[in-house]
Amino acid sequence: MNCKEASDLMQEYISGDINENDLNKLKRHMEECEKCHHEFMEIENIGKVFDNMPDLQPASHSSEFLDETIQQEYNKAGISKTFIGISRYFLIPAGIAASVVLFIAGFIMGRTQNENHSKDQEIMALRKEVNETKNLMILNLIKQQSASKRIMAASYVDQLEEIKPEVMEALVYSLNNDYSANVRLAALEALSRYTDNPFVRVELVNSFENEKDPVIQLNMINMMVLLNEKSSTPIMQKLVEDDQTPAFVKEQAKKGLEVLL
Amino acid sequence: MKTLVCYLMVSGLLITGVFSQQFKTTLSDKREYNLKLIDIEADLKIETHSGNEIIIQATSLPTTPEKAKGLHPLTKSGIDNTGISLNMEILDDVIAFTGGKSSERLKYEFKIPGNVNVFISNPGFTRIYDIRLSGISKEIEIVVSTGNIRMENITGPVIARTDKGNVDIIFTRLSQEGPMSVICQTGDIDVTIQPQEKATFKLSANNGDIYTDLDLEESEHTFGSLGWYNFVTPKSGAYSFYYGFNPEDLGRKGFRFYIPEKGKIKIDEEGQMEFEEKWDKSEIESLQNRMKEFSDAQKYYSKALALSHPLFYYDFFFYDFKGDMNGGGVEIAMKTENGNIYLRQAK
Repeated sequence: MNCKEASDLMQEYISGDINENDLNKLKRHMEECEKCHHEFMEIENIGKVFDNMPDLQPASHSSEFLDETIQQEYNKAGISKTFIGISRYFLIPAGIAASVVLFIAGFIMGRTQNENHSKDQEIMALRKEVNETKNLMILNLIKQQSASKRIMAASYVDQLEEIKPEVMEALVYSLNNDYSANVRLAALEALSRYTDNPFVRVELVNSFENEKDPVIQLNMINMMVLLNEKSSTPIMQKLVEDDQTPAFVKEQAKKGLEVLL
Repeated sequence: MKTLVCYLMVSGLLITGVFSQQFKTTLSDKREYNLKLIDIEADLKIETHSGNEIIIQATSLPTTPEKAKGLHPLTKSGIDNTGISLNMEILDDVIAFTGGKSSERLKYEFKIPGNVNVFISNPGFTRIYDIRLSGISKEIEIVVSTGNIRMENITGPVIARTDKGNVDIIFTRLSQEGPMSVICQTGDIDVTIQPQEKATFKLSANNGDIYTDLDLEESEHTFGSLGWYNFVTPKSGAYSFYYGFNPEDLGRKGFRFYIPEKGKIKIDEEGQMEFEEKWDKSEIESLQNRMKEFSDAQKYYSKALALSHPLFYYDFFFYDFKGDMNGGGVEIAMKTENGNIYLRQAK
């Protein structure tokens, strides 16, 4: 689409005749073309100006002059001072007001028609935006000094419609490096919802290998069994053989091995 | 400038802390501080008071031998700049005390202002330390190897982790500010809470039990499924499994979704989908036989194995119970691997 076509479509947009397909085309063009985007924004702004415009009143001195002239003309022509019972002093401002109202009404109607076309898209865009914001919020919270805030980041993952790769990486980083076991457990819980993602699977097995906290180890053993993750068996084997492993973790690792092998 | 203020404060403190068993430092009441007590291998008692000073009272400090007169001790924590065997460092809003000595009955009592978050980390395990906090209305974080923790009249958020030792918490009010989490490796968790508070509990006592007198409403999926899953019904020689699920759940990313190979999808009047899977008699028999052969371990995991159908997602085993109090609120996770959980109503 070139700028000429875009300009034509904008005319259609103003009149409210544009269809959804063309609107999409126009939007796509505007994303690329700064000039047309600018032009479009101006049109939008004009709409806003109209919406906020005060009622028009003729300037007082000119109105007096105009009224006088009309009066004289009327007198000459011998026309009565009223028009269908309305004082003619009202006629001119009322006429102006009526035309403004008509113009605005036409504009709004055009706009509403348009809105119906693009409503679905707007909702989609809004949902995407909310999701984006939540992703950003998680990235921000996960860096906080407060452990409670970092746990909050992990629990927000539950509310996401779509997780961004950087959020996933931040969670994995948190699972591997956070000093607080409470935060690591929350990160593990959050990641457990994405075990169908190969990246998460690999990272979970890596974390399992490096985890030193018995409570987290225990939860990881359970998770590996549930995921039927055979690649975790050497790690469990190591836990069983290691003298430093607490008895309750050892027992669980034995059970896990029995099921997985 | 900041360092200058710090130096001024420290030198001021050194003068005020002439009395060897006590130490004082003044804080501004206009900002929030983080008090960090690191590696202090002693019993700790932390209380709030109305002033804006941190006052530390030490009891049973190990005595200095005669020969050490005129010398200053070198400890793992650095220079003793408080006169009570503690090293103090101030960096912006963080006030850190590091412990130098440990002895059988060494105890520090802290009186702190209300605008201070508390962080305690004690990896020592030579004895079971006694850690008591009361009246704190800011965030508390405790990481202890061996120690009994008792928190009274607090509001949270609380994050606690012990290897060995019980955790007792008495809430006066429940802060909704952020999630809380208590993890014990070996030890009981005992929490007292006002019955009108709003909270969401996630509880797990691996080799123990959970007891409560609170009115808790169990969340829908303790064993996380996308729907439900019906019994096997014999139908003209073939067996059928029914799966039902909520369409809106399927839109959620991250859950594995099972599409039946043999079945067909039906949608009922309420808009809920259901599908049926046909099994031969021989398939069922082999399944039943396989179940008979289950070892103890497999029986332990049977819940998981039975539900390890791709239709189900995997958040079981993280917690035994998930439930809401008064419609749900701040998330409180509690986990003990060897011990019980007691959830009590404040009387």
